[in-house]
Amino acid sequence: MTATFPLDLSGASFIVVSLLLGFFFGFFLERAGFSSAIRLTGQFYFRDWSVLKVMFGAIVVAMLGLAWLSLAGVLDFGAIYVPETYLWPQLVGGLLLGAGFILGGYCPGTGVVAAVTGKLDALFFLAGIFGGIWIFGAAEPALHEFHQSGARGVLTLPQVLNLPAGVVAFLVTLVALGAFWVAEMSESRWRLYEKTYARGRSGAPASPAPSQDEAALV
Amino acid sequence: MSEQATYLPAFSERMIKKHHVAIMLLHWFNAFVWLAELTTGAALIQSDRFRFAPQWYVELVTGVFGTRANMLRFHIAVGLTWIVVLAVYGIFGWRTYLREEVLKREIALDRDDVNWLRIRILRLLGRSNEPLPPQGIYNAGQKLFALTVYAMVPLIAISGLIMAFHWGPASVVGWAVVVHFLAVAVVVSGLMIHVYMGAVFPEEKPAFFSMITGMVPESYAYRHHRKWWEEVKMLERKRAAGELEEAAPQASSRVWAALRAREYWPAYWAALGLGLTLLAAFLLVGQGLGASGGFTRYLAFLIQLVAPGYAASHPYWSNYVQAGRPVLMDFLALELIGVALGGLVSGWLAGRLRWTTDRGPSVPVRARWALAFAGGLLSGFGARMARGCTSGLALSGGATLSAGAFVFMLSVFAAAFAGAYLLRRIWL
Repeated sequence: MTATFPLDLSGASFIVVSLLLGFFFGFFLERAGFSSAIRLTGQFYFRDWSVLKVMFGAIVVAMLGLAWLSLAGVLDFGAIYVPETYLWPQLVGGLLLGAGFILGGYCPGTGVVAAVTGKLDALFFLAGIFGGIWIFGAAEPALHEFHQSGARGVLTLPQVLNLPAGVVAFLVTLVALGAFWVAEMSESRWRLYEKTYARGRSGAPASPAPSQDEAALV
Repeated sequence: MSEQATYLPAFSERMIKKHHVAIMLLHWFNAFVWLAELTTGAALIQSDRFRFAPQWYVELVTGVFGTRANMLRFHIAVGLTWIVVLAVYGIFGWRTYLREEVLKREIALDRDDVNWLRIRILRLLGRSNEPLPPQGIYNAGQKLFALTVYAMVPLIAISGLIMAFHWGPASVVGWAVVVHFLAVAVVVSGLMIHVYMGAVFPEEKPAFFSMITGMVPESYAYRHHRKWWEEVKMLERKRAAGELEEAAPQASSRVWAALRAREYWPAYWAALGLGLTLLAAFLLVGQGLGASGGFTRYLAFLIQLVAPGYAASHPYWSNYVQAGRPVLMDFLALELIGVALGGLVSGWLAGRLRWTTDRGPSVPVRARWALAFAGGLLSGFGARMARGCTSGLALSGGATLSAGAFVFMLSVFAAAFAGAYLLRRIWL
């Protein structure tokens, strides 16, 4: 079987492709509104579910694409990089990153997009990220044992659940659809509540809407 | 109804539109390309006849890329991107960009222009005080520069391709080197005036800002580009009188409207775009998207720059700093530059670029900055602990059904929801 993908790019084409992929990544993050800490954190107050919708939606699109393309023989899934599982550091790292998310308002990728669109707080967030990575890197020798704990190598959900990959992909899609339904319900409830009781106290940023002139500027 | 009275009172403050956003994007893309290509090109020249950069400069620029071969690759990559972007503008914008913008406005010299050039030169020499003839949207000097550039760009592109891919025998490649250098030299001599006029010359300040906002003050248009000002007025009068038929909406205008919409896109559309980008990443480079890995590379690069010995021997940083492989020649490091550009372009198209601080209603600005910094520290530390962040581990790992990615995702959401309750004073 000779699968065409993944390509093995090098040199100039690798650089161009990497930049272009990043370009679209940043573009769609900004389009989703992820350059706004208010919108991102709105997820955790059940007001704006776009974090969950965009993340789960993108996972499902890419997952189904990978599944179909490898079924069709176009893609060699064995050559795709799958992040290895290190149970305990990933659990603890996730807790720390989640705490950093709600404290700082962004995650690393969205922080970049926020900073380039002019969010000053995101610049401080990015500075913090560099600091945090630096501290971890410097301290890694001391934390090495924990950093390696719970190592399971490349472990996937189909292996854990002992189900075919296609079935797991189907289940994940179902869960995502369920999550979208919950998101829509919650958002419409919130809009109703806001309309009825809490007009003007919605936690929206204090800055006034841009004027007509400003709108015409760019 | 007097037509003149309707616009004259607001004459000096009123702004009128000069540049389409596509032209502004192309302008700044060109600026970036020329900066990158001139910087690396000067360090790449090997022929003794043309080499002018001092040795320390060559070493400094080469050092950024690790090896000369890498720098050459970068130079070619940027050059190819430039050719592709220009070709896309030329083909898809054939009617609006090439015919209307370039042929009619940017390079067509008329009798007024020739006179303008003559008088301008005489005035510079102190030999004349004749008034300058009225000018169109670009003055004769700008048109002359545009003509030169349009003549040189094909030469630069073709000779560059010949050099990059060794098309033809050695003598042809040798000539291509000469043509490449001379054509660039011609553009650079004009570029110096262009940059001086745009960035330094006080009277042309509005022209500089028009490349950012697309607008110029009406008074400036009246003084410097009278013929164009008259065109704009004529159009406005016709439109006010209802004589001008509105152009029929095109199929592409809906896409354009979506790109320029001030509202965020519906989450599912953004999700589809993001998902397809992620899938493309798997297909083209064999791995998913990420963010914190790129940060780590840049940090490792800095550490290597300041303390190469420490970086090479440290048990963690040495993972990134390996001999013979430049730290930044990595998908995540390169991709991160793209992320910044993509966010910038998207925000720009939607008119969302402005300096602000995103914060809850009861948090002072400085406190918000401190909190953001603290959040960044935790996120950076956590991301490295987990070997990935929301993009690199949760998103990319999730799509490949990695078990660790789902563990990570659940703990991120758990901590963020718990933290949201504890920190509700910050955001609500």
